[in-house]
Amino acid sequence: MMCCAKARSRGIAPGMTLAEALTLAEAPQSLPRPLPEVVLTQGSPVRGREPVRPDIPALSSSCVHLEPHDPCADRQALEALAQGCFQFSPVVGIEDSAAPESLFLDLDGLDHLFGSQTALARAVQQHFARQHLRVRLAVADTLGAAWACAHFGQPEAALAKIPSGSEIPPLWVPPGQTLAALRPLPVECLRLAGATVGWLHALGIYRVEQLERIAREEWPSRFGSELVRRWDQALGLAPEPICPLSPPAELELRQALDLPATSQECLLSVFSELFARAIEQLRPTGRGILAAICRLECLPAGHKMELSLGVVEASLSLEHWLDILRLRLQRVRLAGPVGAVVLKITQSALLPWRQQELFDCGSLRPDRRVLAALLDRLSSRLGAQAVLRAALRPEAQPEKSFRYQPILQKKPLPNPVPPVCTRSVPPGSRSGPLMPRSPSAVLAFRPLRLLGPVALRCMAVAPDGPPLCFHWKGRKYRTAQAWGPERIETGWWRGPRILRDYYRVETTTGHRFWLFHCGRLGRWFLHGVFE
Amino acid sequence: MDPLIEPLLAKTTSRCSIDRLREEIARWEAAWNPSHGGVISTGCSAWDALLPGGGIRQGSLVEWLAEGEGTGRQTLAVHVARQACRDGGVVIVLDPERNLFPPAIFHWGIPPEALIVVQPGNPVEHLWALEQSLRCRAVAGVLAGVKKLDPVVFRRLQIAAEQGGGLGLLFRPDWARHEPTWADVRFWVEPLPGGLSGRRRVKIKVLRLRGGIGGGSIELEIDDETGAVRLASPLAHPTAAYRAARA
Repeated sequence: MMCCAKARSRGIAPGMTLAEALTLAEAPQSLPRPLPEVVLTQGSPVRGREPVRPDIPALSSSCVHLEPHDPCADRQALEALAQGCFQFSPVVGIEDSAAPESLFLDLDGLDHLFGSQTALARAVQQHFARQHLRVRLAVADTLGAAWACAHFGQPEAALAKIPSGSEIPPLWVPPGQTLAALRPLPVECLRLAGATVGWLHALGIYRVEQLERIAREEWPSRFGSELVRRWDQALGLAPEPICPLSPPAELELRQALDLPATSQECLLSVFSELFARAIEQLRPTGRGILAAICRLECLPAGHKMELSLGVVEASLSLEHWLDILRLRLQRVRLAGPVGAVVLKITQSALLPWRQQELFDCGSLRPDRRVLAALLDRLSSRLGAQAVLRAALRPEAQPEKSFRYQPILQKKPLPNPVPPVCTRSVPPGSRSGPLMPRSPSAVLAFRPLRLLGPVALRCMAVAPDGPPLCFHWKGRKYRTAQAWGPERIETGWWRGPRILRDYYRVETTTGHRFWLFHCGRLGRWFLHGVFE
Repeated sequence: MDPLIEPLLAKTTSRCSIDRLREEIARWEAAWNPSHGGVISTGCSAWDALLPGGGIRQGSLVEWLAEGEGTGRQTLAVHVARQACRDGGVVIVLDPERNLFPPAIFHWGIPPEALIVVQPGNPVEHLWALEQSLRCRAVAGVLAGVKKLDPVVFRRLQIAAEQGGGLGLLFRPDWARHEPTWADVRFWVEPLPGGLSGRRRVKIKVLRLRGGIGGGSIELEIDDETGAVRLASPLAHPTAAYRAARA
């Protein structure tokens, strides 16, 4: 569990139970403070960074926001923010720690692109403000100094006074005055381990200026070499490079063909070269191709055809991608000979990393990779709309009570909501009180196959029940038993009103069907078969 | 040789050879493939007793034949598929006619995240998708309706099922009962009249069985409310249940 400074100020600490945390959070307190702010310091070469905490419960006096702690998702969110910062600097890195919260940008020589450093800082703040994030910016000579100022540069009391809507003013550390800027800050600003900080506190050293009074030669023996390293990094005496992230891969590879191609094998071989080049470019980054667009420029009149390919899991396997492309090309009819081909990688994602098992027990454990490959092949040959997942919907009308979603679509379906019955009468009672039934009771009497309602021609209808005999698919069925009616009605807000009385019918031979009588049309329909 | 030992030796050798021959015959008949791990129980012990090994062998095809519609065979197949996907693994349903009703499948115990519906556009794609799904090791069961099946294609499906290790549950029309089969088991499902509101009775007969003798049949009761399949009680006479329901 993690909690922000605001939560800690209310007494919540990691390791507490949820109920205790909620009680403390909802106790009346002073006005809550928004997300931490940005501190910029000036200097050249300047480094700015902003700590962003994407996963902090926002304590307000009225509600507490709880999220399950997911470090991987945090890191991915931070990486997504870092990708957005490439417009400001070509070198963007993420803080190297167990739970990174800060981004480092190298602003060396970039002032003239934005006018001045102030304008650059302003642009950064506005960029994050558009995403509803407040950032603490600090610009300094070294990474360590910028980190220190951004985290501890402004006292908490001053930050609390800034209203939630406005941005936090950045902190600037003038060049050459790094040590002066660091002096009043607490020792935690040096990015030390918890044990070292505890030891310093035990000796009564709380500020960097107090630490400065101790002779530097004594530090390694008393506090370990880490303190020396961090001090040197903060003051610029030891190098500390940023580990840059790679910019998003928007690869577009084009190949013009000398002779226009019409055969699929020729196109496949050209695309295999393009894919191989794209894979070689992506491989060092550890990312795989998730979606690609293959454009075929046909010769007559520059006619272009685009094939979009997608997979369930990012993959760098050339054979897999060629397989998918081959299945896709089989469904395509070319308008004319192809003069040039373009391969564009539209989406890439981190490759899923899997550990190999030492002992293969031989039992059939489901392998996600294998399943993903199967789904990719099926979607490619049959079409993305032919491989589907199903989910329930809270609708009484049976044909609308579920929906399909293509497997390749990234947005996951919401959790199935148990269906809500609108005015369903329990079977057996003709017009009893309208009680809602439990979802499982509703689903129990549903057929496995649902046809588009088939109108039945019935000769004889029992006074209180379904037809005595009906014809379907060339056979005549006689009703032996029937259970119902179950009235399914929809509300006026749904459009044309549905009023159906459903009966489960068993014939003399034991076959079971689902019939309904439509109140509006006054006819009998066959809706489902209990296969 | 010693006259006392000779007849003893002769007896033991002939017995060993008979046992050896028996083992070999059993191996040829059963075609047991040990790499695929065991059998999948159908969930009903009386039904398991009809099958060799106490269940349906993993990596095999099962045919379900019936006459007409509304017989209950697909419900039984979904029930078996649910047993198969207990270890994880997905169930793929091929639905070319686009009349599947997924909520009923969810009610029968297959979780929504384990169900994948494939809607092929033509018979060629249908068979191709069936073969691909059977071959995948992450698939626990495939349900598909197949009308006419060429023996070569059938054999290919059987090999794909053995490679993939899942169950292939095929719904065939009634005239297929006279055709040769590569499936491990061929069931004939016949609905019986006289069921109660939430319970229907079906009779299952094993037409063909690989590695055993077919011909066994039992009556099962499908309980729609609880999603269970069990042996029908022989004491309840259909007429009595019929009268009780009408009363």
